Amino acid sequence: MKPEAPLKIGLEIHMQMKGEKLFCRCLTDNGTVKKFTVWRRLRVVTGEMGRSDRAAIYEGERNRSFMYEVTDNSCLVELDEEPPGNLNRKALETALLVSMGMQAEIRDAIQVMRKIVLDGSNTSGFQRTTLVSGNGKVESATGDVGITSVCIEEDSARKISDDSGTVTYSLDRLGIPLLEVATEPDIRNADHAVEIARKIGFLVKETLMLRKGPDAIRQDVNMSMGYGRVEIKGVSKISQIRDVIAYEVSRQKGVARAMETLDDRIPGIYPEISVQDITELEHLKKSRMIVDSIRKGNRVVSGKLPGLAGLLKKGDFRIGREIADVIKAYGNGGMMHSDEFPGYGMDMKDAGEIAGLLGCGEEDAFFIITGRPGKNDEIGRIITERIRKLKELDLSETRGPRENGETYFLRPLPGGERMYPETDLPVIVLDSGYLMELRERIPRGEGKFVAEFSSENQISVQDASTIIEKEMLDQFHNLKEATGDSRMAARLLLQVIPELSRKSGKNVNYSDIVRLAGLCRNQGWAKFAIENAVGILFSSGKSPEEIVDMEEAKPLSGTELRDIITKLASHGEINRKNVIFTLKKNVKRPFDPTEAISLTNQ
Amino acid sequence: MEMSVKDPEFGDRISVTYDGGRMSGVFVNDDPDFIFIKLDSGYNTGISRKKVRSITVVEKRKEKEEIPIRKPRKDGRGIAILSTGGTISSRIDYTTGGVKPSSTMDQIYSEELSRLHSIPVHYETISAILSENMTPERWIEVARKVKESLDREIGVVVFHGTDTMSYTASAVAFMLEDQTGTVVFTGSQRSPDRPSSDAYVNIEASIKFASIPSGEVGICMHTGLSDDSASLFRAVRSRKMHSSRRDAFRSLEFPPIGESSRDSPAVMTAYRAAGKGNVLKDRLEHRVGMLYFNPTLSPEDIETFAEGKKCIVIMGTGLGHTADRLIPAIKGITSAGTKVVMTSQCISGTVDMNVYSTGRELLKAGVISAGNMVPEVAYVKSMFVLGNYPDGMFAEQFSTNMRGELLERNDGGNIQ
Repeated sequence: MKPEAPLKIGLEIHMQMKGEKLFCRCLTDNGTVKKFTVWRRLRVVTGEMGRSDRAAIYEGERNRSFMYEVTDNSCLVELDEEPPGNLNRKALETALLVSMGMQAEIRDAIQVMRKIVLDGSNTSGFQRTTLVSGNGKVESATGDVGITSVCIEEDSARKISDDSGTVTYSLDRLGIPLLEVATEPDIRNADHAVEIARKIGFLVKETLMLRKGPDAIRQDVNMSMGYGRVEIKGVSKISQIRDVIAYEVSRQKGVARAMETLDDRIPGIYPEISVQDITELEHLKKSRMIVDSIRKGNRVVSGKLPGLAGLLKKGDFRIGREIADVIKAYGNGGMMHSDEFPGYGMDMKDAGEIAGLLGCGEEDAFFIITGRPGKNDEIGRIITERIRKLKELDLSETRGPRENGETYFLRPLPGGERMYPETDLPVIVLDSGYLMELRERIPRGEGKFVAEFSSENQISVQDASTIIEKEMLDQFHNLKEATGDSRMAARLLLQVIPELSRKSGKNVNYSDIVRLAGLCRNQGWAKFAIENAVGILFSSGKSPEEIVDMEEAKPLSGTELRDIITKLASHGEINRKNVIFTLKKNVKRPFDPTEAISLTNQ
Repeated sequence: MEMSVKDPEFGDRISVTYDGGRMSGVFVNDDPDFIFIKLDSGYNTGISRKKVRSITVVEKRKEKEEIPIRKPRKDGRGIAILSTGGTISSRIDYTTGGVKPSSTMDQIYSEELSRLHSIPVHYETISAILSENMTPERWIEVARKVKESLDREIGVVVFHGTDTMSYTASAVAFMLEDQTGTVVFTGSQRSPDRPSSDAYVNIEASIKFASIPSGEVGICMHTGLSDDSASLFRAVRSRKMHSSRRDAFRSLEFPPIGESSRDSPAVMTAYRAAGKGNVLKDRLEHRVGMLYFNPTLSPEDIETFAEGKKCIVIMGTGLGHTADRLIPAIKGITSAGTKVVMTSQCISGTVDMNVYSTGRELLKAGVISAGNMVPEVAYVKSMFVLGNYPDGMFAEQFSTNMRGELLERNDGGNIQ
C-alpha cells in the first residue's frame, strides 16, 4: 500500500492578452458575427520521436467530428487554411516583461512548438505554444515558489455544444494570445496557491495587456499527495482553487481507504471484468430511465465487480463514481450499480436477482450500463483498467472542475511527447539591446507597484489600490494623459464619474470622457470646468465636440466673474457664505468657486 | 566552446552547462549560433553557443519504437497508387524542422488504406520530389508508369505536389491517347504529419473515383473548406487557384466531373467513357516556354526568350493582346519557324484576336489563338503537339479539342 505523502501543489495560470491574436491580425475582441460553418475531422499522428501520445490516442479512439463556427474575428489562419503569420510582438513583449518580473531566465532562441490536441479545440489538431523563459520565482512569506516556465500559446476554440459524435466550436477565441505561467510544485496549501495565483496575475495586470472577459484568466491546478499527479484543468475563479484542492484531497483519501479494503478482499491483480447483455431482463422494466434508453435503441449491459460491495457508494466511499466518470468519458451512457439499490425504480429483490444472475458473492458488486450496442468488450476493458489503476493507487489523470468545487475525470495525462516544432515559423532570436530596454519596464508586483504608483501620481495609497483592484489602470492612464493631471484623473475616475453615473442612471463611454477631457484641456480650461463638462456629457447626451462649444460649458474668466459679482452686489447683499449659491442661481456657466470667494472678500 | 565528448547526435539525451545554468534534454540539432534541445516538458529551446561551456551525452538515443504496419490487401486487380512526392508524400524532418518528401509513405497511409477493404491498393514510389522540381522528363516517366498500371489495374491514383499538379496531370492526359481506367491525381495542402491534414479525405475520395472506370485524367481535392467532400476536376481544365486553402483547385468554367461525399459512394457525371486499351504517345517537345506579358516587356526581351525555342506561349492581356511595339519582334519569331501561342492573363474566358486591331495585327504576325484553353494547359499541349505531330500540322492539331481542354460552349458555369 502506498503511503500518503505531503501535499504538493503546482499551478498553471493562463491569462488572455488583449489586442491582436497571436498568429494573425484578427482582433481578440468582436467575434459576435457568425459567418459560416466548416466540418472537420482530426487524425492521430506520430510525434517527433516516433511515438503517438497517450492522450492523443485516447481522443483519436473517440472518433468524433468537429463543426467550427467562423466568426468575424477569425480568418484563414484560425481555419487552418493559411500558414500562421508572425508571432504577435506585443504578446511576446508582455511575456518577457512578466518573466523579468519573476526573475526568470529568458531563453536565447524562441521556437514555436505544436502541441498535439485532438479534442477539436484547435482546427489544426495542435496548439501553437512557445517557451519564453524558465527558472523564475515568486516570493511569498509562506515560502517562495519556483516558476518552471513562462510560455505564450494560442487560446483554444470555444466549445459551444457536444452531441452525437459532433462537437461544435466557435473560432472567436481561437488564437487569442495566452500567457501561461507554470509553477514548480512548491505550493503547500490552498491559501498559498491563491496567494501565488494573485501575485502572478498582478504582474500581467501591471503590463496593461490583460484582456477583460469572463474567461480571461483560467488556471490548471496540479497536485499530488503520493498517489500520482492530478491535473485539474480550467479552474476559472481564483476562489475555486481552494475548493478543488479540498475536494481532491478528500477524494484521494477516500479512494486510498477503499482500495485498502479491496486489497484485503482481493490481493494481487484485479480480475478481468466480463460484460453481458441483460437488455431482455424483466426487472429492468421497472426503471423508467432504462426503458427510455432501450426505446432509443440502446442496450443494457451488466457485469460483476468482485470485492467492491459497499465501496461503490457508501459512507465516504465513491468508487462507483470513479468508474462511471471514465465510462462516460468514452462516450457511453450512464452507469448504475449495486450500492445504489434500492433505486432507479428497482428494489433489493431486483438487485438480488441481478446479483444471482451474475454470480455475485457477498462482497461482490455489479454495474448496469446503457449504451450503444456492440460495446461490451470495450466496456469490460475500460472498467478492468480503471479498477486496476485505482488498486495500484495510481490516481494520475487529467480532471475537470465542476461549479461546486468537485472534480471529474477528463482524460489520461498527456505524455511528454506531444510536441514538435512549428515548421511554418522561424526561430526568434531576441536582441540584447531590446531586452535591456525592456528592463526599464519590469512589472514590480502589487506591494511595490501600489506604493510607487501612489507616489508617482501623488494620489493616496487607497486610491492607488482601488484603481488597481478595479482594473482601471488603463482608464487612469488615458485620463491622466488627457487632463495632464494625475490627481484630476483619479478624482474623475473614482468620484466624479461613479457619482454622475449613479445619479443619472447612465453609463457613458470612457473613450468619450477621455476625448472630452482632452478637448477641455486644449481650450485651457481648469479642473472645475472639466468636471462641469463631464457632467454635461452625462446629462445632455451630446458629443464631446458639441459640448466644448456649448455656452454653459465655457468657464467664466476672472474678469467676467468679477463683473458678475459686482453686479450682483449692487442688487443686494453678497458675502462669502452666499456667493456660490447666488452665482449658481444667476449664471449657467461654470466658475472657479475659490476665485469667487476671494473676489467677494475684496 | 569545448565539448567534453564528441558531438551529440539527434535523439541523444544531453546535459548542457552554460553561463548561468545547466539544462538537460534531448539533442535536436544545432546551427552556428544555437544548440537546440527538447526539454522534458516537450518544448524545444535554443541555447546560444557563446554561452555553452560543455555538452555531455548522458544517454545515446533509444531505438525508435516500430509503428506496427497493417499491410493493405495485395491480391487481385485494384488501384495503383503512384507516389511522385509533394506535401502529400512528405514527412516532417525534425532535424531541419522542414517538411520534405519521403519514400516511406506507405507507412503513413497503410493504416488508412487498409480501412478501405473493398478494393486492393498497390503502392509504388516513383520519386520523392516537390512538384516545383517536376520536369517534362518526369511527366513522361509518370505517364509510362500510369500506362503500365492501367494495363494491370482498374484505375490509378497519383500522389503529386499541388503546385504543378495541373501541368503533370494535363501532360499525362494528352499523352494517354486511349485509356481503360480513371487516372486521379491528388495532393494535399496540409502535410500528413498534421492531425488536420487534408490528405486522408483526398486519398479516400481518389481511390473511390479511380474505382469507376472512365477515360478521364482528373485532379481530386477538397470541394470546400470542410472535410466532408472532395471533387474530381478534369485535368485539362484545372488550375490551382489558392496558395494555401484545401479547396485550392478548380476546373475553370467547367463543372467538376465527380463528387465524393462522406459516407456515400463517389459519383462521376458527364465523363469520357473508358477505352478498350491503353495507348501512350510519350514524346514531348521540351523547347517550349511561357511568357507573361507586362507593360515593360521589350522586343529584345521577347526575342531573347524565344531563342532556341520551338514554341512560346504568351499570356497576353484581355482577349489576347500585347503592346503594339512587340508585334514586329513576334513576326520575326514566327517567320523563323517558332510557334507563338496566345493565351489570356484573365485565366477565365476566351482569347479572341478579331475584336481589336492589335489582335488582328498579332494574327497577321502568325500568332495562334489558344481559345478558351487554360494557359498552363495550352503550354503543355504545345509540347505534346510538337512532340507527336509534323510541324506543319501544329496549328490544326493545337486547335483540335483533344481531351476536353477546349470548351465547345461556355455557359459561364462557375466563374470564380
